[in-house]
Amino acid sequence: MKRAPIYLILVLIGLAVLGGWSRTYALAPTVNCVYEMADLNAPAADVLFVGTSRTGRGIDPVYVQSRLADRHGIDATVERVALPASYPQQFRPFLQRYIEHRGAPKLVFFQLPYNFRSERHPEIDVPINTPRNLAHASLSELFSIRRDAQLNDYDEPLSRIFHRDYASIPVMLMNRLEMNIYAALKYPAHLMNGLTSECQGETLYRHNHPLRLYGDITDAVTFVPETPKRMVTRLKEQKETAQYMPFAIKGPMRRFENAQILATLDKLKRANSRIVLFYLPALGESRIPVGVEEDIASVFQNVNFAHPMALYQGPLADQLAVSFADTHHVDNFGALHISRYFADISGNYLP
Amino acid sequence: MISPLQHLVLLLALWVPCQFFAPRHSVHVLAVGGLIAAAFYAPIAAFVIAATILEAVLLVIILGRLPRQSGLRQFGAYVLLLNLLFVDVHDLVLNINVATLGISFSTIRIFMTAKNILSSRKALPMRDMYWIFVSGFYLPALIIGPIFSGLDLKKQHDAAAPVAVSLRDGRMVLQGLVLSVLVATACAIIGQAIAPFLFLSLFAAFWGQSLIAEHSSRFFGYRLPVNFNHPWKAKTPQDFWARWHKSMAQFVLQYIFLPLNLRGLSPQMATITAFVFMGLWHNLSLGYFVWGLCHGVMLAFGPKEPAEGIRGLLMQVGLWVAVIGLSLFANYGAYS
Repeated sequence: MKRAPIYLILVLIGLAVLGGWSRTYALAPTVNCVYEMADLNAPAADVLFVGTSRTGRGIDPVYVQSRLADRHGIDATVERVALPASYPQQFRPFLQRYIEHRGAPKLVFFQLPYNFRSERHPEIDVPINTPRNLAHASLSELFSIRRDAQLNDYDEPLSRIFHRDYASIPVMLMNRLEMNIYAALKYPAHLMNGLTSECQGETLYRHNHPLRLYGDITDAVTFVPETPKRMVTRLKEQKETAQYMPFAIKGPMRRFENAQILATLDKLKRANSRIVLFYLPALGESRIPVGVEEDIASVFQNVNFAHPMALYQGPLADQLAVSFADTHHVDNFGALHISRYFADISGNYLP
Repeated sequence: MISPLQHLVLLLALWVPCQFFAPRHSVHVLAVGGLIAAAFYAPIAAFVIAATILEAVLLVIILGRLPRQSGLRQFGAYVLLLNLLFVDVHDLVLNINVATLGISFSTIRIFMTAKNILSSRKALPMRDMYWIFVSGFYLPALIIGPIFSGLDLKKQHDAAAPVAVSLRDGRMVLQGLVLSVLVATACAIIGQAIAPFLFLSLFAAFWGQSLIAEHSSRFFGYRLPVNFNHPWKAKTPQDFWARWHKSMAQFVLQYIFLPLNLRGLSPQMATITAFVFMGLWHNLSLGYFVWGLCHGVMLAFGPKEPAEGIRGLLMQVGLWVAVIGLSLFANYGAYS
């Protein structure tokens, strides 16, 4: 049986090819649905929100669309893409695919996906993290993201290429191969389920986020948490202890993130989409620090910037339990106000 | 970290070029392949292993000039075991978290090889130094062992026995893959609700990866020590350590227990010390210190012979409650 390794090699090659074709990756619905949205047989949305989990929790596209029509008389389709974790490079393959299949959205609201959590250093700017949000990216897209990637500089003694989570190019290829083999193993279950997608209707358009808290807000919402006292106490504690990394947009610690955001914006500009960068606040933030807007204008030239921070100096200022669910995400009440804000300003930017 | 599947893919990828020359030379391909894989997956770990190899070679050259009876020649190589500390303290030293792939296992293998060379009755065989390198980077055993001396591979290399791959080897590799990927993952998920399944998850992962290492090595004509021999049949602590992570148990008995015992430490104290070392080798933590201490005490003072009937059954249950409890305490407890 000297040929046993040959059989193993053939089986693994077969599985890798099948998995690469089926792409039945064992991922959270949010990631799969985002790519299914890019592949939809439908024209591009007029307004597309792109961002991290803050966007997923804070902006309801259906609400924005209906308010645009009802209050502003603008008949525009609105979609939202929210991928958890602040990986600036995760959006490039998605937007590329979206534009290729469905055309360019007229207006793209693009959340600045900077990392504000210091504990995320180890994972945030390793260029390639295929098992997470780059699962559906093609190899050429992965190489493109790696190309000329200048890593963030956190002033650590060793280069980040030595970090535990950094994947060299051969490792990146091995990770992709492994994902494809596992995808093939998942394919029979996919077949038995009748090849139905988990991303349909509301799941696709509105709830394409694992934290299905939002998406059905209306103007009539008067959200009251079940245990407001406890929640307020918890949020107060979180507010006092929360520590966020600074914007430091021009600093070396944002080098990689800026390069990736610029590359994404470049794709959108070439497709003639109008771009508005936006920022969504974290618990305890009520204004954009002085100088940050100027820095944004300088780094991302000819791109508008919007933020709903004024809300946190006004109606949401002292309503901890009815505007934030945790340090980085608003609750339904906060989502209502933020969605309303973006619906009201969208008209200004739509061509 | 190299996952079990990627480990297997790497081994199979190296198997192809190995078909073009004499089977005994595949050990060199596997060592160089291990070095390259380590450099791509965990460059700092590759550097540490390489530095340990260099350190071992220098030690062998220096200590080899001393008389065989010299205490320094006999025990000087133990300084290599200090390199194991890198796994636990590197983040304090380097200020970043790096992958420590295979350092724990490679360091022990490098130490064993250096020690074996120094024990040679003949003049110092300089050509054997090469096998220190092979023991450090031998790809099948790079990730999770087993533990052996590079000179064991040399013997097989020199014997040039024909490759005898059986269908069972292929089946065992697949079984290892299923255990280390599917079973370990499923047990880890169930373990969130039922803690003992966390132990099963660790066991499945370790056993599965050991099977991949042992049987994939046979594809190339090299046999490695067997790590697990039906451990669930163990009835006494002694029996348990003759079946569970055998290569490591044999290492601590030969290289920690025996020297201590021969120098006057009572067998019980030598056993306890050997297993405390084994605990701290797993992880430099209070949890693993207690793990090693308890296993040492069980082995030193526990029953040596299995009992019959209901008493035997109770002993077996007690043994497994202790094994699982200590594992959970060391890996998931407050002091892990």
